[in-house]
Amino acid sequence: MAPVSAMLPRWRLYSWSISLMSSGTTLCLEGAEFQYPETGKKVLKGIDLEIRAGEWVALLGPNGSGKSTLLKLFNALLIPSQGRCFVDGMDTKDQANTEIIRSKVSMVFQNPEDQIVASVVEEDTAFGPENLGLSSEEIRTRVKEALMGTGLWEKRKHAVSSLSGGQKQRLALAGVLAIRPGALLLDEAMSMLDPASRRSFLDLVRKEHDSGRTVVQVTHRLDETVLSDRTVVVADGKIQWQGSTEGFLSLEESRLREMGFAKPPLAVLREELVKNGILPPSTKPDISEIRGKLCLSL
Amino acid sequence: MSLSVADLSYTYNMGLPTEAAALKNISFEAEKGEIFSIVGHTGSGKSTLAMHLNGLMVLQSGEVIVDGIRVGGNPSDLRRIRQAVGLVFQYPEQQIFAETVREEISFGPSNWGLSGDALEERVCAAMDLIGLDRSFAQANPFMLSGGEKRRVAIASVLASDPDYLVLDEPSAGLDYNGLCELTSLLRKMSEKGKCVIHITHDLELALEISDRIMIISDGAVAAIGSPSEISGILSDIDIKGLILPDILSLSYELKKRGRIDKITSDPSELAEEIRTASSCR
Repeated sequence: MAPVSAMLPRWRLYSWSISLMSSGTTLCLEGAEFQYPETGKKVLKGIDLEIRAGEWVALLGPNGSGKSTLLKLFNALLIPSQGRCFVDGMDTKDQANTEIIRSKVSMVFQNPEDQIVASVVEEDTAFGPENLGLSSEEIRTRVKEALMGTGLWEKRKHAVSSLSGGQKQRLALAGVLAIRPGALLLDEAMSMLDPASRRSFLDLVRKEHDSGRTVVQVTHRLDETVLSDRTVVVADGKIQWQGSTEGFLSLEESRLREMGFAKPPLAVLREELVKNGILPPSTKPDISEIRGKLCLSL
Repeated sequence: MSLSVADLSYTYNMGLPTEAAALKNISFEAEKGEIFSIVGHTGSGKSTLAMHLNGLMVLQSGEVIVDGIRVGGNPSDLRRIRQAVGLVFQYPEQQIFAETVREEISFGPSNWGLSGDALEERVCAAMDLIGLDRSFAQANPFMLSGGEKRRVAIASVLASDPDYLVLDEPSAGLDYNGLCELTSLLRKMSEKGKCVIHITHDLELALEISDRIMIISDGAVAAIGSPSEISGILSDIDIKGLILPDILSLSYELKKRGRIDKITSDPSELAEEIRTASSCR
């Protein structure tokens, strides 16, 4: 979890938290480049990308393409070597903005152990709000809200070590939600979860998105992207393709393979059924939708 | 020669209020030359089981026998067992420690006594097998992406040339091409006579690549059999955390309603079945 300074005046923090309750955050990269000083390797090469408040963007690309690096620019964990990164208009290069940026943009990592800091569930969830310098009452409200939302309220007194992998990942999300960020960054946050845990985690993300939060989701699984508004493909540090997720999933199999992806089986089925006039073209590659329409038409 | 597990049980924090049974009387036998997938939900005990297979965890009850040698028997056998059973952890960063990829991959074989050209050859062969470009040899493994770290972790185990390769969630975090390379590597290893024990929560992948599958739920064996045997019974057993792959689930449902004749996990085949059913209406 990104540390949030408690050094700032409380009235400022309080006013941010109020303003963030119902609105998403805008994220913007202008000619952003990034070079790791340790290796000298240029990982991002002139990225221009604007993510609108409340938008859900799936960020795809092969291993080592720069996706995780790009994500880390958005909460100022990394600063572009060239070009600029803006969060709600604030330049991440300006260190005076770092604390507010980190309270607006929160990240959930692949391995929940990387961001769980306390040994008891509710203490871990309270860590972020405590660092924001909020009142005890406000902290309690947020912890309850975050744990209820992630289905962990019953486990609030439990030791973190007693949770399963899926529960730990939900706890990592709860810790982030208690900060009430305007944007959620998910860095392969579902890759270690079993299908049922993945589905329940995705449902939580859908709820957060529905409440107005911006979501940027790094994943390798195209079946996890069907709920997103837009897909951005990064390859070798550059944007290789971007457009609606629906458009992306409808690309020819050969084009997807060229970019290093395989069409999800459900998208293949949908396409063939649409081609044969069994399903209407408006059908999404979503199992519930396809099941419902097929049961009516067959 | 095989790896066999009999009545293996393990309980964490035994005797404490937080006591939790992770494994309950697990028994199976995995043979050389096969891909044996162990499928289970998050927290089902898969990783605990994996760590028993090369003696990383102390046995509480039951036994693990590798090529006739009992794990936890004679302490001097542990070295032979660890050489025979290579384990790739769920999170590759947990097993990476060296400053360069070459050093990381050569650690295992150099511990088994290899040096000089023979060691270099072994390192290069392992990198080639996993599709890791040799230009990575001098790279710092901690500076690599998640997927690249995973390849380094697998290569470092392959370099020791174990007879039993245990991989805990090897496909997580890999891109599509990486996944294709991984599945072809696992097939290649089994064709070479190695036993591949593939631990995963990805039932779809397990059905596609395995010779046999064991499903565990809450630490106990729920089912064991070939992919076709497992496909046939999946709809009848309730396995916590596992959801039937979409195509298979839709196929079961339509067959149950008498709309199609065949159960399949192939989307084009299911589309054809639906098209035929639709034209008969």
